[in-house]
Amino acid sequence: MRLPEIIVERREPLPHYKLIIYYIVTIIIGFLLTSLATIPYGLDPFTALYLMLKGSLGSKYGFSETIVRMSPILLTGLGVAIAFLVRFWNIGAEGQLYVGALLSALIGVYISLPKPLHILVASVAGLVGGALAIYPSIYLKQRYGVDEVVTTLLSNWIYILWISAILHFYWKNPLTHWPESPYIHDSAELPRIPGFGRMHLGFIIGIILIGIYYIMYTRSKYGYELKMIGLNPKAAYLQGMDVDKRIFIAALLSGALAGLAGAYEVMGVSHTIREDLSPGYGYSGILVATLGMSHPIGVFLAAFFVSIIEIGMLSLQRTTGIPYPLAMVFEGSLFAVAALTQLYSSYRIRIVWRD
Amino acid sequence: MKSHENIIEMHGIYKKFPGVVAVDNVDFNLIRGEIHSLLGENGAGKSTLMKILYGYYRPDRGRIFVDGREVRFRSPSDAIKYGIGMVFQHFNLVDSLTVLENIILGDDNLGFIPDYSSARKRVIEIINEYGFKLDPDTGVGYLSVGEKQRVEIIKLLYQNSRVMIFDEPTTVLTPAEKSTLFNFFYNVSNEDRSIIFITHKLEEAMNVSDRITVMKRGKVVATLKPEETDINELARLMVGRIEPYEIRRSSRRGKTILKINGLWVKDDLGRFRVKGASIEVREGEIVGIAGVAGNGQKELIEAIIGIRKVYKGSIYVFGEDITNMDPSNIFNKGVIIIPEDRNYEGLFMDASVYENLISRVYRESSNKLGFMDHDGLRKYALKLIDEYGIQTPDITIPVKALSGGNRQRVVLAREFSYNEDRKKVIIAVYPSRGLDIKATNFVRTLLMREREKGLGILLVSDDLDEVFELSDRILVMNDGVIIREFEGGRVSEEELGLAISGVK
Amino acid sequence: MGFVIGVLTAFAILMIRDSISLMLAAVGEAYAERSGILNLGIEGMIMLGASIGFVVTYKTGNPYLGFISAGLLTGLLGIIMGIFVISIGTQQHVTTLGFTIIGSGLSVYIYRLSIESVGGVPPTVEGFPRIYIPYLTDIPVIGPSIFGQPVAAYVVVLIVLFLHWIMEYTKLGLHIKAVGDNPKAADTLGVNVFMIRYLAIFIAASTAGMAGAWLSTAHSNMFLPNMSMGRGWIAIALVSFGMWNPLKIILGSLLFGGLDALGSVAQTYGRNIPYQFLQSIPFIVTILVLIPIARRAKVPKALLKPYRREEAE
Ligand SMILES: Nc1ncnc2c1ncn2[C@@H]1O[C@H](COP(=O)(O)OP(=O)(O)O)[C@@H](O)[C@H]1O
Ligand SMILES: [Mg+2]
Repeated sequence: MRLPEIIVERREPLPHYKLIIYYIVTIIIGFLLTSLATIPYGLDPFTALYLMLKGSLGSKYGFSETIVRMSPILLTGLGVAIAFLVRFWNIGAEGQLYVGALLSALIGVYISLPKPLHILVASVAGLVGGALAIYPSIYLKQRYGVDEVVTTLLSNWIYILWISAILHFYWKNPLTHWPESPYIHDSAELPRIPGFGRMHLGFIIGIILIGIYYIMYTRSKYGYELKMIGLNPKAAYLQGMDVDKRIFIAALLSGALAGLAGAYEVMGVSHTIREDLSPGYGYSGILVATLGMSHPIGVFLAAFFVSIIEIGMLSLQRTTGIPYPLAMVFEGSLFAVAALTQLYSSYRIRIVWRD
Repeated sequence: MKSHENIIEMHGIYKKFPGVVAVDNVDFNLIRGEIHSLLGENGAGKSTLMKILYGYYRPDRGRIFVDGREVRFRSPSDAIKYGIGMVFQHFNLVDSLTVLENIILGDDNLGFIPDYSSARKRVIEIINEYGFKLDPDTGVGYLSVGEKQRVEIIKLLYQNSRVMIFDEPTTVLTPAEKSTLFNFFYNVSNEDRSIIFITHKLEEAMNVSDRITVMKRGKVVATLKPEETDINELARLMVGRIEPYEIRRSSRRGKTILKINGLWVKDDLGRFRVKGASIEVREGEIVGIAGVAGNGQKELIEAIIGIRKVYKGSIYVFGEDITNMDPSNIFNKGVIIIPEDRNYEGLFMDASVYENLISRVYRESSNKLGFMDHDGLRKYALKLIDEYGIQTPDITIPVKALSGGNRQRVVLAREFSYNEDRKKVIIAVYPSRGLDIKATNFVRTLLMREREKGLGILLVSDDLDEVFELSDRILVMNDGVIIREFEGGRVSEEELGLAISGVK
Repeated sequence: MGFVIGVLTAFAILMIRDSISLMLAAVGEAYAERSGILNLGIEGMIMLGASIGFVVTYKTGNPYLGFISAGLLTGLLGIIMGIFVISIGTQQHVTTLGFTIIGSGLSVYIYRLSIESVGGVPPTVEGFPRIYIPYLTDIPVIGPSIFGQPVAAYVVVLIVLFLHWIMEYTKLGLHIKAVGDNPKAADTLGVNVFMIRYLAIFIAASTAGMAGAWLSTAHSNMFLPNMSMGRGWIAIALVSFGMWNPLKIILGSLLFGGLDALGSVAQTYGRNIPYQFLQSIPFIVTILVLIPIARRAKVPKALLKPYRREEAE
């Protein structure tokens, strides 16, 4: 009997453009495989793709919804990307987002300030909330060596359960009696971008932050240090870099940005904090960071791409009844795609049949 | 039967790795009951050839015959069935299992629920027959290097190997252990088993073999009997024409640079590994530390460069106490390290050559806001590449794509060029391990050049020849202390060997 | 007195119900990790198993079939994951996390595809018959609640004990440990590293799948999206907590099941504490128990490292 054998062998590093082509081809294969699941609903993959793109980009409404979706994903993606750069596996962006949202909602509800200042303070509260939320995981990792994958993950549940408790038992909205906080003051609301539906200032700020990250990543010694620490912390330490401190800062920043995403959801979209504030922006952020390989441009494109998929799938669900969780299947496969692409850069993968 | 005199025949074996033909159309044969040395410098293709024979690698082309019958091995288990066994250069033992478990791991005859008692009986028989001192129920993680090698040998005997391949087994052994191993070779070859002994040491090949096959750059260049040749001819066959580097001793020794006083250092498990060692290195000299690995050298070095805590005692550089400072401060005091494991301690393997070359200087070339001067740095990197002869198509390719010799050049270029005027003492740990002769000579010449500039060099190596040839003074380290000191060039290799084995 | 008995009984029932799924998933995870593969896909695999187990049971009326299909089909997903992390050798964190998301996505997709819910009320299934162990059931108070379990509970206990036996006393166990600590050493002795790892990952995935089926056909008799509620992650933590030893992991699972049960009991009897706080206790305790063992843990040495024979050293 002849059996297939997968051969993975080193090769000369691939030039970037080839790598990008491989990347795109693999994504397409992933999409085609996933979209087989639309067939039971009487839809062929290409029509599905067409409907998805139409729903997410084909109209002004769709496009603005895509951007609204992208705003938090850009921030969580950026945050996770910075942590992943130093190989701190922050899987807890979802929980950090909620804590950031909680703190900024508190500021938005209980404090009155003139508009720009109020926005600033509430944003800072979001940053602080996210940083506080990730801090225990960093501390446990650096002090006791506890694996951050587990602690950040479990902390998602802890924070979200606690916030749910707060909203159900201590901080109900007096107007609606829903488990959601009272509405924040107008002065803390992020301005909308006129003519683009619910699109808000958070998106612009996200773009600016990506720009700053781009400069740091390509030109500054901090970007260089983070990259080197991620590649080989021991060598970095021997080269005199302050490894623990850099990882600490990167991880803290990561949490803070996720917290900011939560704050902007409150300040820009819902104007209150709810249990279902995030449909998984934190997890999407992990995908975005992975897919974008922690590179600023990669993160930006990935955030856009992931938002298109999510809004597209939502619209597909509305128009054809195909369950939205199929988007998750595709997104999950994108992790494998990203992992494969990382490998392509220095390995060749072949299948041979042997007896 | 004449045709079966050759227990192994390999014909036209060819194996290519990305970027290098490791084995190039090689013919090799092994006679029943002989000790056959496979001689060649690092990278000649010896290990690859033998891994092919052992079924570990698949050749791209070529045929293998065992007892005159053609075989096609898919994995080592096939080779083991034909009575071929191999001890790899780096031991292949599972530390978390016991000696016995390691040995029976591949035994197909043992049922699903292993019959430990009968296996243990056989292992003990083997241990007694060959006079190995070993308890089959100890965890392998607790064994010394010599003991681990014995476990590997027992594996072969347990498998009943008729062909035993040893890949550079002597590098990690004390002279005493070495002669025990050679005696073992004689004994088993008298039992009609054959030995393939891989080495790059000419004398060893001359002394133990019935025949010697010399490999160079993937090809077999000759197969000879020791009595028909001599060391010089072997050397010429093995390396071809290479400028020998000139061995020189220190011309002037100056003040004491590095002074270590009664140092005590623990290992990761909290056991003392350095137990009151005192060492002095002066300007313009190379001080070699000889000794079997695992006698505290690693902990000593790590303490000097600041990545391991000093428990007691102190370390001075030019009279300044650097004990327990952090690594970047110690480096700033002028202590340079060429780390033992260049791939994982010295280099960022996935980063580019450029990023690797600038990891010392990037701070100085950054402005207050932290922006790096990439243009200046690029020029600097190109200068180093030129000066140190680093062969790379481009500075943006990952350093892992370079050969071992070029990687070491990257490390040396980076460490030696930074802060020329502050540099005072170099700690060189196994600086030429795994390199071919050309790269080795380059490294040694460079060390001597630095000595001429007046630097002090502390050289740690398990390669006795290296310590022997370069050092102005040789210290022998045993069980955490310096037990002997010799003046370089005034001691014979035998004398040194005895001292290392602990014979005073 | 009646009150105390009530509380104790409730506690015992809940503890067993919760620990069953944990021990099954965690012991399976230990197989993957001991062979060198960190399976972060476990959470999604539990959900997939829950969905498949429920759907098959619902359609056929046969919970045994549901249980077995959940194990086999989720095992298949594990094999697919294995192609990536074992044969190709992609980064394990990233890949297996992806499979968690695939698993949870698929679980809802399959459920919705196969079952039309009527008016928003999730349908339920019959589940397993109970077996009452003679004599032991007669123990007062806790007897009936502990020794009168659905068939699947006994099956699970047998499975985990069997897996313990395999790991500690057989050659397969020896091979799994060797492959996870030093695959090269195992390979050079003729052990098929890839085969062993595939087997381990199949075991890990299918036990997770069965754990999921337990949740949807025995624990609660219905399927809900995200019904695993982080059990997969706790299972991963339990593996380190139990030092990769199945027996210790089983004990750890009982402990955590107890903790969960404590929360639920407190929720019933102490209405003024928000139940979310009680629900968060297992997660907090999981983190806390990892602290003292983190640095002492003897992690399998080859964990996270793909094995490639022709890789230069
Ligand atoms: N697994 C491998 N992948 C890529 N290149 C390899 C591998 N093994 C050996 N090589 C290369 O093949 C050549 C021969 O190596 P080797 O057989 O180890 O030589 P020797 O044992 O004589 O020192 C060297 O250039 C080495 O870098
Ligand atoms: Mg070799």
